Amino acid sequence: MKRKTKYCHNRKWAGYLFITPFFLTFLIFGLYPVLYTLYLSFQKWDGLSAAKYVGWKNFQRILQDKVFYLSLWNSFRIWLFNFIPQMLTALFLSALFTFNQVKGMKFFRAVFYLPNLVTAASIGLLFNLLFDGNKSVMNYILVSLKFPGAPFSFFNSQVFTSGLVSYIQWWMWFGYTVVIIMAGITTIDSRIYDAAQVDGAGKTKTYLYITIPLIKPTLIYLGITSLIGGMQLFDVPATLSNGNGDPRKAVLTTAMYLYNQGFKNHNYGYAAVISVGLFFIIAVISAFAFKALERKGEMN
Amino acid sequence: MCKKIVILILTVVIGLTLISCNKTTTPAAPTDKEKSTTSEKSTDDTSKTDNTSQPEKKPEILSGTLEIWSSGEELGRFVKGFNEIYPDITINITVVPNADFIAKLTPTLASGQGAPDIFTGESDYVKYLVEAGYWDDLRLEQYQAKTEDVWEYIVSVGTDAGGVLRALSWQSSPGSIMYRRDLALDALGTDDPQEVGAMLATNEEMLKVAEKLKAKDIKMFASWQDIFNMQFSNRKQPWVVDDKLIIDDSMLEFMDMAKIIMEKGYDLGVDPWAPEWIAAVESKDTFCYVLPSWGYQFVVKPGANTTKGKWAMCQGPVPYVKGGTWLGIYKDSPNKKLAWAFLEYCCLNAKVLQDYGAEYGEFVSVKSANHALAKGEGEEVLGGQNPFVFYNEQMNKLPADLMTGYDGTINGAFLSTTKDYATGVLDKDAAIAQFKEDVKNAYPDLTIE
Amino acid sequence: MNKKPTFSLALMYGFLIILLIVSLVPFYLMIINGTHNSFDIVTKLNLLPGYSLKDNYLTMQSHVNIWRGFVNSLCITIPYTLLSGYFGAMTAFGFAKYNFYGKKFLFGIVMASMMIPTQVTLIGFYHLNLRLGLLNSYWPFIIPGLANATTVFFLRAIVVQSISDNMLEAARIEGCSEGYIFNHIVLPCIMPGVFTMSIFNFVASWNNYIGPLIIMTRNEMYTMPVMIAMIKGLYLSNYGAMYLAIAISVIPIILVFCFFSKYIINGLTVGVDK
Repeated sequence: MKRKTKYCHNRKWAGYLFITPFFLTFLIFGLYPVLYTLYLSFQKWDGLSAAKYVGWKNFQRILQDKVFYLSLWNSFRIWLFNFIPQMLTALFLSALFTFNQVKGMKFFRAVFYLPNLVTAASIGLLFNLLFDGNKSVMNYILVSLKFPGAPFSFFNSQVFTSGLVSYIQWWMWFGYTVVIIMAGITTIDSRIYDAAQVDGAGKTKTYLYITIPLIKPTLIYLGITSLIGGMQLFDVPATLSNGNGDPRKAVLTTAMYLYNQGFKNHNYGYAAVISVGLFFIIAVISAFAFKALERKGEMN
Repeated sequence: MCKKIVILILTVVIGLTLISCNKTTTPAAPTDKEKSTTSEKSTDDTSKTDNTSQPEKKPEILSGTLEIWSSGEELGRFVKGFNEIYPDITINITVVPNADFIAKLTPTLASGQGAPDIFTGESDYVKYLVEAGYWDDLRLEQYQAKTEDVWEYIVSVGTDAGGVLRALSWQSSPGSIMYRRDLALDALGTDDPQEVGAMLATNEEMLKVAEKLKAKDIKMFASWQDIFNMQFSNRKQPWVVDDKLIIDDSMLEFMDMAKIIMEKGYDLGVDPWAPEWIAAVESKDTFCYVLPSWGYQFVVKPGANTTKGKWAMCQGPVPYVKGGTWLGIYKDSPNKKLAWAFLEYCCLNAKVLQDYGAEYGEFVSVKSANHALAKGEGEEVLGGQNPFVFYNEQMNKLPADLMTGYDGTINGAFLSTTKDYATGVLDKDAAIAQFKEDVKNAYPDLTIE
Repeated sequence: MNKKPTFSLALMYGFLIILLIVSLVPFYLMIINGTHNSFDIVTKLNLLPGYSLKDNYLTMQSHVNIWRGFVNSLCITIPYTLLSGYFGAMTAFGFAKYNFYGKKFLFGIVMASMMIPTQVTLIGFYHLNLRLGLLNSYWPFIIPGLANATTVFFLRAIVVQSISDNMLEAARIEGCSEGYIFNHIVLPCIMPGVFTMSIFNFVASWNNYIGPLIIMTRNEMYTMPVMIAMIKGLYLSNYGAMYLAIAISVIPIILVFCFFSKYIINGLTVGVDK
C-alpha cells in the first residue's frame, strides 16, 4: 500500500516533468506575441504613428463586419470541399496499400506526397496558364472539342475559383494524409488482424470495423489539424487572386482579410481583432469536433 | 526505388556544381572588360565633377556600411559606380519582395530598431510613408537637396502635406500607348506616332479605333485594366480630399468604357500580367498596351523578338504617369552622411543618371539627363523612335499629382468592382455602392457619401 | 488465378497511375521551368527541358548567394526537426500516460497554440526577439521546436494507440525509472510516428518564409524561401532563376523523405493477405 502511493506521487511528478520543456518554451516564445496581439486589439494603430487606445471599438466593429463573416464562410467552405475528398482518397489509398501487395508502393506514396512541395508561387502561375484567358490550355482543348459555351472566363466564376482552391488544397494534402493514416495503421498489433481472419472477416469489413476504429486518435488528429490549417488558409488563394480574393471575394479567406487590413490598409488594431476572432472561431469548432469524435469513439 | 531517386538527385546536384564551377571560370574574363569600361567611366565622372561646381567637389572620405531595403532590384545597378567615388562605403541592398515590403518594414520602424538607413516606397504606398514622417527632411542643412533639375512630379509625390521633402527617385514613369506599327499601318493607314496619337485623342475616338480594328480581327487592348493607368490622370481630384472619398466623373466614365470594351470584345479578356497578356507582345492580333515607362522596360522590350521594330509610342487621350519607386533616409539612421551620399548619387546626379539611362534605357528623374538622352539614337524595338523624346514631351504636359496614401487599396477595390460591372454581374449603381462599401471597410475613418 | 482479381488489379493500378500523373506533372513542370527563360515560363506550358539552365544559374547567383541560404536553412531546419521529434514525443508521452492536476487545461493550451493566426502575431514576435537580442540569429526558429504542438498532438495519438499500460507497469515493477521508460521503451516503440512527424516538421521549417523574412535583417542570414522570393523581382524578370532555386530547395526535402520513409513503413502489409 505504502509503496503504491509513493509510486503515484512519483508518477504525477514525472508527468509534469515531461511536459515542462514545452510549456517553458511556450511561455517565452508563444505567449508574448499573443499578449502583444491582444494589446493591439484595443488600439487604433496605423503601424507608423503612435497607437491610440480605443477600448472595445474594434470588437464592436467586427461583430457587424459582413466581410469578416463572409471570409469565415469562405475559409470553411473551401476547407470542407477539400477535406472530405481528401479523407476519402487517403482512406481508400491506405486500405489499398495495407491489404494488397502493391508493387512500387513506396514509390507511389512518395510521389503522392510531392504536390505538398510545390510552392504557392508556381501554383498561381501554373493554373493561370491552364485557365486564364480565351487562349489558355483548358479553353484551347475545350474549343477544339467544340464544347458548348467554350471558351470560358473561368476566373470570373466564383464557384469555379473557389472549387479550384479546394482542388489545389486536396491535391497538395492527400499524399500527406495517406502517410499519416498509414503511420497510424502501423501501430496496430498484427495479432488483431489474425484474430479477425480467424473470424472470417473480409478485407473491407476488417478495414471498416477494425482498422478505422483503432486509428481513431490519428483520424481525430487529421480532422482537427486540417480544420485549423484550413481556417488559416492563406498562400494558395492569395496567389491565385492577387491577394484580394476576387472574383467578388469568393476566395477571400480570413487570414487574407486580416493580412490586408493590417499590412495593406494599415489598420493593425483591427487586424489584431480579426486574429482574435479567428482564433475563437477555430477554438470553438475544434472543441465541438473534438468532443463529437471522442464521444463517438467511447461509444464504439 | 528510393535509391533511384537518390541517384537522380545526386546527378542533378553534380550537374549543378559543374555549372557553378563553370561559372567561376568563364565570367572572369568579362569582369576584366567591365572593369576597364567602368574605369573609363569613372575618370569621366571625376572630370565632370571637376567641371561643375558642386559642393562635394572633392568627395569627403566616407566609410562605413549602408543598409538599404528596396522593393525592386534597380538600385543595385548604382552600387559599382558609387563605390568608385566612395570605395570605403559598403552597400548592402536587400531586395524585399514588394508584396511583403510593408510587413517587413512595420515591425522594425515600430520598434525603432533594425531599420535600414535607406528604404524605398512603391507608388501604391509611398504617400503613406511620406506622410508618416519616418523619412528625414531632405531640405535639412546636412542634405540641402537641390531639386530644380528634377521633374516636378517626383518632388511633389515625395513631399508631405506640410511641404517637407522626404523622398526622391532615380526614375520617372510617364505613360504612353505602345502600339504595333504594322497593325496600325494595316488598319488605320498610318504608323506614325503623331497621326496615330491624333486618332486616339479622346476616349470616344479611342473606342472608334477599337471598332475599326475589330473589323480586321484585331484586339485593340491587351487588357481594359491597363487603361486605368491613363484614366487615373484624367481626374480632377484625388481619391481622398479632407478625409472624404471622391469619385471623380472620369472614374465613372472609365467604368462605362470598361463595359463597352468587355462587351464588344476589344481586349483579350484577361488581367494584366496574365500569361496571355504578356504573350501579346509577340501576338499577331493585339494592337496596344497602355503602360508607362516600366511597361516598356519589363514587358515590351524583353518580350519583343519577332516584333522587334514593329512597336511605337504615342500619346492617348491624356498624358499620364503611373507607378514608380521613391527612396528616403530613415530619420534615426546613424549613417545619414553615407545615406545622403548614396541618395544624391542615384537621384540627383545628372551625369550618373544619364549614364544609367543610356545603359538601361530607363527614363530617369532628372530633366537634364533625359534631355541629353533624347539626343541619342532611337530604340530598335520601337523602330528607331527615341522614347526619351516622347517621354520628355509627356512630362511637360502632366497634370498635377493626385496621389494619396490610400491609392493602393482604393485602386484595387475600384478595378474589382468595375470588373463586376463590366462583366454584367452588377449594374452600375450596385457596383458603385459595392465600391463605397469596400472603401469604408478598408478605411472606416473616411467620410463616404 | 481467376479473372476477377486481374480485373480489379488493373483497376487499382489504373487508379494509382492516374493519381501518379496528377501528382507528378505539376511538380515536374515546376522543375522543368528552371531550364527556361522568363518569357517562355509565363507564356507557355513547357513540357520539355529548355536551354536556359546556365543563364538562370548565373542570374540566380548574381541576385543572392543561394548556397549560403541553403546552409542557413539547414542550420535552422536540422536542429528544429530533432528538437521537435524528441521533445514532441516526450510531451506527448507525458500527456498520454500520466494523470496530473490541470492536465486537461494544459492540453487545451497545447491545442490552442496551434490555432493562433500568425500574420499579426509576427509583429509581437519581432519585438520579443528584439528584446531577447535574437534578431539575425537562428535561435528564434530553432527553440520553438521544443514546443511543437502538432507533433505533440499526433504522437499523443500514437502513444495511446500503441503503448499499453501493462507494458509500462511491467517496466516499473522491474525497477525502471520514468525517464528510462521513456527513452528506452516508449521512444523506440513510437519511432515510426516520430519519423513521420520529422518529415513534415522538416518541410514546414524548410519552407518557412514570412518568419525569417521579418526576423532576419541581414542578407547573409536569409533562408532559402526568402532568397527565392528575392530572386523573382518586382516584375516578371527572373522567373527562370526563381524556379531553378526552387528546384534546388526541393532536393533536401526529397532526400529526407526517402531517408525517413524507410523507417515508417515497417510492418505495414502484415495481417490480412491471401
